[in-house]
Amino acid sequence: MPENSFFSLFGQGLSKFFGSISNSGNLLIFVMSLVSIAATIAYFLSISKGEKFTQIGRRLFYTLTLLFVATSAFLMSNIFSHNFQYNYVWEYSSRQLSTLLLISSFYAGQEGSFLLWALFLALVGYFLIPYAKKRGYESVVMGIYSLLLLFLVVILIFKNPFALKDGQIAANGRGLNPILENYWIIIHPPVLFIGYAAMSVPYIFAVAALLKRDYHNWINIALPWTVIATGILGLGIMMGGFWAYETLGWGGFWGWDPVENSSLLPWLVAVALIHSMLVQKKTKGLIKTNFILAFTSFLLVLYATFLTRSGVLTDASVHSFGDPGKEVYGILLFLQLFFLALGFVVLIIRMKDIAASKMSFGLSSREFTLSIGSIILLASTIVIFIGTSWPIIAKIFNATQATVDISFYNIWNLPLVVLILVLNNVGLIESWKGQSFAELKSKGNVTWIFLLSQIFFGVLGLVLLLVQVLDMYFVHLFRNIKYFQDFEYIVLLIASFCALVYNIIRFGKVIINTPTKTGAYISHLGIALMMIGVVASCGYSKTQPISLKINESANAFGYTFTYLNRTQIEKELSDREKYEFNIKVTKDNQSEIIKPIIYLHDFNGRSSPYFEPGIERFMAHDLYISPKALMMDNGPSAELAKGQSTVVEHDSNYSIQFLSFDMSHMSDEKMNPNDFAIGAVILLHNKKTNKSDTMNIPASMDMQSGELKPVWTLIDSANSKVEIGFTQFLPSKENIAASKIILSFRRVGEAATEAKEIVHFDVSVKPFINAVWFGVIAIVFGFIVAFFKYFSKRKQLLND
Amino acid sequence: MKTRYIVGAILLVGFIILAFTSFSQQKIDYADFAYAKAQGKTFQVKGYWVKENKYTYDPAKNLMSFNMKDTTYAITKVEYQGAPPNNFDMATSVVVKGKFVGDVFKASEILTQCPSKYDANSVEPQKAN
Repeated sequence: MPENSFFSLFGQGLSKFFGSISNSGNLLIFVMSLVSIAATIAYFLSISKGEKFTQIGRRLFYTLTLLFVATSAFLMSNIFSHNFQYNYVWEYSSRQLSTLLLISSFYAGQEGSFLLWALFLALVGYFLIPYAKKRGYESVVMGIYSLLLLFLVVILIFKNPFALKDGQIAANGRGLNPILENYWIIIHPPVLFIGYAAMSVPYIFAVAALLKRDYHNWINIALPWTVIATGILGLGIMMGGFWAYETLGWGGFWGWDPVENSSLLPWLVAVALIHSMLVQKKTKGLIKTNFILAFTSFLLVLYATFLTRSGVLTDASVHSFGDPGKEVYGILLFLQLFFLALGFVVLIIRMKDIAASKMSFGLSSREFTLSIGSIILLASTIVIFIGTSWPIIAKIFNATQATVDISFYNIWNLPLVVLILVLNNVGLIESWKGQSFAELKSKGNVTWIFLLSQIFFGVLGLVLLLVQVLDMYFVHLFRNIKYFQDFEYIVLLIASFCALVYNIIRFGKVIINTPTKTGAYISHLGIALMMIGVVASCGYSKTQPISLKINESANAFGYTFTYLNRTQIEKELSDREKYEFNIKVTKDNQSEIIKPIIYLHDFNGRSSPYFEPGIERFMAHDLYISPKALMMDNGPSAELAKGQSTVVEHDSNYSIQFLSFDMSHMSDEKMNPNDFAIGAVILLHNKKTNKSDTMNIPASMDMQSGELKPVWTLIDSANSKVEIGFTQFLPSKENIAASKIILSFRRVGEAATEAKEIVHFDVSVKPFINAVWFGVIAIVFGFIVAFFKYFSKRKQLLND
Repeated sequence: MKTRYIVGAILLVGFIILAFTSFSQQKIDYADFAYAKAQGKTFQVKGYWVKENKYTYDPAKNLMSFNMKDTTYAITKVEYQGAPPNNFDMATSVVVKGKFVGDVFKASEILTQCPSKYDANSVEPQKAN
């Protein structure tokens, strides 16, 4: 990126913004920038000058929060009232969108999603102030927090949702991509953004703690925030997976897509952080580790935003010129470097001051197991980070652009998950500071079977990890062994099942005396349950393509699929033509109707259909019908553009070439007024005699449906017995002259094959997919339980 | 104390190197058609599908085929085992992953880049496989 162009863009952006400050949206953003500067200054001054400035800072921050709410409400009202003079409103909404979908227009584009992130940051800050105040942390924490918000306001100046559209005010907006028109778009992105916003709190407490030389107590303060931020972020990620499974029809819930990975990275580090925070709470160890992990989880949130919003990933695969996000690219890069530097500079300054902890982790102590668990989580983070960041790494090291196969993520993470499950089991029965096996056994916490099984799976996990390393140097030595993958799956399945059982047992014991402490067990049993579902539904899913015409049946996996009919839905919306395809599924005299959806939409000029899968949920598996293509079966026919030729079906002595359209009979009065006449002029060539003739193949077109009624025409009446029918007209939107036709052939006297719709589906059986959903719900629920444990503890302390 | 950090650092660096090496072995490079054909290995090729010649899809074989122009403007027939990905018609550009069998590029995966949900002016990959 040439620097002068960046700065000139920066200048242009600024002058454009201030040139239209009279625009009330711009005015709001301008005022917010002033207030956030003032709040930052006031809070930082309050560190040395005391309470007076704290109060000013607090009032300014509350004002800022209010301004964010007002700005968001202003954008929302513009979307609701279809004010298409705003470019953003024009680009991401339309009059056809329902109220709920209009809400999602708010954050469908970059500008609005930055505003949403900032809004949630401000709202989180609103709750953070009293919390930090009570713990003597307000000045530093809110100073950094206001600074973060200031940066976001700067982004909004350049990615301004209130920028006016050039030229005339459009009558209607462009609307949303119809793939996104789903109720999940109302919930998934906001939840993710709340998680992102909350993830900044542990970072800020960490920096503030270093500045205040509070190396231990900050853990207690930041832990509830870390737990709830991780829970919410996890919820957001999970909803994305569910959305993908339910409507996108890829058949999966996780594709290791860079966009998905980038949200998983901060989550993994945050989970590691929670565990190492627990270790520090109990043992006073891992002080620096916790600072570094708290920094990393927030930096990875910024990195995720950078990856998805700056265009680096798409730039890697397609060279788009004049990328509209240059300023944002610069600001987001700066944001990451700034917070990276801030954290680590403060840490380095305090390095000597942090008393080295005299802890020695006994091999059989819970703190040792938790630390190893965190390390494994970080190993997984590194693997995913490298795979996801390759476009950037390649650019930095000037290597060739490449992407990685999805198997890269799977084969590395599989042994890591086995190890995590084993550590989870071992950690459950251990105690802090460590007890010997004999002691544990005397308390009835552990049995020989447990110990041996965990050693067995732990060793297996390590072996699989080693195999992965050896495979690299011996070119898939092990992976070429038959059933090796099945072996891996079975190891993971059994390890998951053990972890599930042990966690349920522990959960049962704990819930009797201290129900508030069950959070960890719920989350861990959720992970085990999820892994069972992942292996079963991904490793053992079966897919088979079937093709159906109306009233036809096909068999797959012991089910009979019959295409009954199709029902048009959402008829009130004129921008689409949407059908539910009613597929009757029968097995053992029981039948259900599954309704996959195929529709055409103005968004792509109705040029190709959109698909949504139909799913029938059973307890132990899902039946998943994913439409893949909708076609017309014309019988023997040829699709021709002007000038193209084809051999005549049924009689290869002849070939035809499509020359032009014949519209000369359009005004014929004999015709039905709803029809109009159209003809295709072709050149007929007889190979035997080497003679060519032009002839006209007429048809009449129904004005409403565009369907053609062919007038079957005999070619070369003396010598052939083949008729040609002009059966379909495929108009080209850009250039009517480039339209194509379909000519069908039949033998004289033979009934023409009636053109019939033929639908192609992929039918899949996904075993135990429900375990994935119940698992992730349990994971998230565990975080919420854990959060309220701290909450109730605090209440108790206040009451004491 | 110190030895613990050193051991930790060695483990960390070691693992990063491992993951990195493994990545460079499993990564699939971008190339143009000529290079992919000469090497005969699996590559990714980016380019544009030639819309003038419509794509075809044969449901019986579950095979899609189309003509694709790479960045050097070389045109090659691409065959993909599967139905055309959603939004293929709208695709501003495509990336195919696969290798040459004879003169035909057999793709195992197609990435279409479409007008994005985040920015109408930019593109976002859409995966199909």
